[in-house]
Amino acid sequence: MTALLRVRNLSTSFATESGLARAVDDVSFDLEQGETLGLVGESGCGKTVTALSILRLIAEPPGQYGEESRIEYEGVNLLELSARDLREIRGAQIAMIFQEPMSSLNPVLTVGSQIVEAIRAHGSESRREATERAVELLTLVGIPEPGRQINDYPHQMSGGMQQRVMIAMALSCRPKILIADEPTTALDVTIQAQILDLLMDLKVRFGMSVLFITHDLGVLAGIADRVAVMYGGKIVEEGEVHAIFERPAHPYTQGLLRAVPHIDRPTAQLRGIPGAVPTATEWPSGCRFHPRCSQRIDRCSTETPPDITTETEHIARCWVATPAGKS
Amino acid sequence: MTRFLVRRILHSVAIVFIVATITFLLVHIAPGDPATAQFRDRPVSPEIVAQYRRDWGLDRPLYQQYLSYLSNIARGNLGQSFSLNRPVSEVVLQALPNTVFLAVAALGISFAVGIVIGTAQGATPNSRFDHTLTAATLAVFSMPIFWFGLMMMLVFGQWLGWFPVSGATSPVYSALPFLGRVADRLHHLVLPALTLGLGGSAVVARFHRAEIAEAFAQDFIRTARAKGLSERDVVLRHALRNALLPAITMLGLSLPVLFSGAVLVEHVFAWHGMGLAAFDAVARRDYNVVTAIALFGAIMVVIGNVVADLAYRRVDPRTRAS
Amino acid sequence: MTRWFLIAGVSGALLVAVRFPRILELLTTPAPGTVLPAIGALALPAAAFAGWYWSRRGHSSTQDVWGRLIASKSFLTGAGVVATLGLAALLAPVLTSYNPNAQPDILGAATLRPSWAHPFGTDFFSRDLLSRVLYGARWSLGIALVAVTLLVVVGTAAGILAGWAGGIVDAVVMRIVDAGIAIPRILLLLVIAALWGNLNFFALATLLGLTGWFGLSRIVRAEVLSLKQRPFLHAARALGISRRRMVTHHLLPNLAAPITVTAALGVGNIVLTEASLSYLGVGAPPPDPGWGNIIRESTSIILSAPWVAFFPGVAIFLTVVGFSLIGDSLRSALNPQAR
Ligand SMILES: Nc1ncnc2c1ncn2[C@@H]1O[C@H](COP(=O)(O)OP(=O)(O)OP(=O)(O)O)[C@@H](O)[C@H]1O
Ligand SMILES: [Mg+2]
Repeated sequence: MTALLRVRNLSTSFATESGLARAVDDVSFDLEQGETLGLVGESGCGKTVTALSILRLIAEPPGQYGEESRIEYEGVNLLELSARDLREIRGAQIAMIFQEPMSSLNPVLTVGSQIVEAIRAHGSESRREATERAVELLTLVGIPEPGRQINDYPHQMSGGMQQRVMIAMALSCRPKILIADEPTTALDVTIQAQILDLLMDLKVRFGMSVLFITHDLGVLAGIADRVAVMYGGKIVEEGEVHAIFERPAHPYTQGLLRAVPHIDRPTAQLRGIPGAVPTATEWPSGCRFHPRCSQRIDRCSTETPPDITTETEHIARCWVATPAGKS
Repeated sequence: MTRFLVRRILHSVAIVFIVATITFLLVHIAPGDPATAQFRDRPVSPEIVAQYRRDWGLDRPLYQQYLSYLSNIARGNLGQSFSLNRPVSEVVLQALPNTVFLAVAALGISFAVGIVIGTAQGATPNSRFDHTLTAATLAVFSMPIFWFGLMMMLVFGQWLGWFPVSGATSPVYSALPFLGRVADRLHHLVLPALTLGLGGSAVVARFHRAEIAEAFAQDFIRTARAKGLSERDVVLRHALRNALLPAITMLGLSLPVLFSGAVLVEHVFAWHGMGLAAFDAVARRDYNVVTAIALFGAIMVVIGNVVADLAYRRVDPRTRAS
Repeated sequence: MTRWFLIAGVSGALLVAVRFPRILELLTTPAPGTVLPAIGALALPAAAFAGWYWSRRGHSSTQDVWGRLIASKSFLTGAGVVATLGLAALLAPVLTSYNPNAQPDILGAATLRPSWAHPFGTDFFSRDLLSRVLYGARWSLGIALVAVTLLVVVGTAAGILAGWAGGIVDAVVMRIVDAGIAIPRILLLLVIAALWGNLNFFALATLLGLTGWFGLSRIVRAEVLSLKQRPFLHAARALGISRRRMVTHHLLPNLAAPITVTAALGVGNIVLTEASLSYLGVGAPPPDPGWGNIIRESTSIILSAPWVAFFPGVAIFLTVVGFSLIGDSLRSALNPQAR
């Protein structure tokens, strides 16, 4: 059985003044029916660009997709669709929510009209039917007084409520895939948990697949089925959520895990990864993580690491990762 | 809202007060005074001039003159026209309707045309289409408006003969039936309004293009596209709607330039409005009329700005009282 | 280094003036004393840019600005147009052998069509239009440059004063600015024309400069205010760095960009305003040619001799286009984020 969404060799680059920024470089992954895939990495790793590329929301120019890149949804390559056919996918089959609910909503339109607009973009509902449906959706995402709040403007709501509106909008056409790009990063911790619960609840109810993007590996523990770790525009490790958490093979993943506060050892110090993500115009040679890696060996700085399949059946792109059956 | 309104009105009164002070100072530091101006071309005895000074209070201390000038303005008394021997307010009010007619038509044209062009450009930034229109608006923007008017007059008035080239009405105006009068007025309005309006539209288009481009860089445009909206809806419902708000402010800010342009266009097309009245008064050195018109122009600009600000606050949900 | 350039330049100019008095004479006809200060004023926008450049030499961002300018087609076009017009103004006596004010044959040679002898034709008084337009460039560009110098000086001073002093000074200055912006400029200038009558070159230039600085002072004030907020100014004050040094080392470099852009755009604006005044008959005193003047005199014969109105209009048009292109490309080169 083929996956619902197959991303193959996705490369997205930007022409900038300081050269070509290869924000996403040869990324491949699958999203199966009903699964939640977590995409994790530090700021600047290319997560957002990956997400936007799936719906071809990158402006061309300055953006540009690689020649061999394929985004297959139900067997159709989205990168080759006409603008009109692509619109049939956007919002209807694959929907998206963003990091900043405040700026992602149009400040001069009521939240109701923005949801109605999403409904009517893909259906034949009348304005009244669409409005009724919008109220239902707002109820569904837990807006307290949907009948009244539907006429509110975004600035009249809190960040958490705004993100609920974004979710309602995304669900308005019952999409098969929801891409959530750091949907809780801009919110308070308590609100974060509520939004996560809501998302996972709705995922089950709507039978959606979710691509969940975050820079916080800890968030994924409770919600993801599989995890892909991204660094420097590439996926460096990918596998079952338990495998990633219990036997991380890539030093970068290990670093991310150390940065997660842990229930069992609350006093343990949080250790991040020294240094910062380089800019997309100047990726290091060889393994892009090598300048920050504590376990690097000589060849790391010159040769691109191969895919290593580890004991726990997941893939790591690292020269020092231990392949299955070798330990 | 009320507090805003009160502050805004006080601010406007302060501006008008300063404008009045400036005109008063200008009149008094200039060589001569109303008396010498009044009798400039007529040799009269010094006694008559002195009498005139006494009659008009020109022999009083400067501060008293200043206070009475201000209080006269506050009561709508703009003084006497030396050359026409009529109250200045009469001269101004008589010229007002024609100027308002021309200015409103031109404002309509400049915003309608400017916003369409700016939106089309902003929606396709850096395309060939965009560059062509940028060149076109730069060209219109760079033409002296009176020269543009002369060229319009030459081409559409004289060579093609489509429109009348001077005056606001034809000589037979009063003999025409009602609809004929309306048509006659509109016919005369075309060239002056197009000249003034197209000149303004270049400015509006340049401004609005930038606003649209800025709106396009916002996150909510990405959301709109992610919803599957057509590009047309993205432009019209999202980008344009947001970019129209600053255009309201622009409307207020463009008034001084509009009035300056109107003076020139009225002159080119012999359109009897305030600009032409001011120009005629300059030729006769009847500066009471000129200062009154300048003051009046400034007041209209200030009122226009307040109205634009209020409109902005009503239209923008973020500033509207909730 | 700069000093040597200055000394060499000044002594060179003096030498030329002493050795070749004819050159001076050529440069200053028909209105003596108008062109030299104007050429001097040309230095202002250039100096503002040079000052900015100098204060940040070595910064990579400065290299970028220069690179962007040189690579910008609109900058090169604008600079080319402006340089051509400037040269045409300077070389007017070489480019045409006609006296712009001479009326050789008012009956036989009036309103001649453009021809080899008179490339732009002749006007109602049989004067050669090309020479009038060329000499008109001296008047129109000269006034604009002097006025822009004044505008920049006054606008910057007022903006710094308001921003730095704050409080009541700020309130008063800014209300004056509001008032200055509220009065339609042509009406204000008409008031002055009505009160003073005919104005000569410097009076007109001063007038245009003194009525044009309001916008710039707002920009400068905003820049000063934002600078005052920044921590390094407090640090500088705590270190006992003098006020003068703060102005010259911190404030002026930051102001150079908006000033340069305003100066470039201001030239075009003033050329337009001056032409408007002259068109209304309260600018350049006839018979000396200014572009607005020529158009004014052409209106009565616009039907029979449309070229008389056409060519000076094109000259104004090209000037404004040239300076606008320069100003716009400077703006985008100086802050690339804003498109
Ligand atoms: N329009 C663009 N032009 C040039 N470079 C871009 C553009 N968009 C993104 N990039 C570059 O691509 C790289 C990846 O950016 P991206 O936004 O995908 O990171 P991210 O992983 O989502 O980070 P964050 O956690 O901050 O959201 C960055 O180095 C960024 O500078
Ligand atoms: Mg991101």
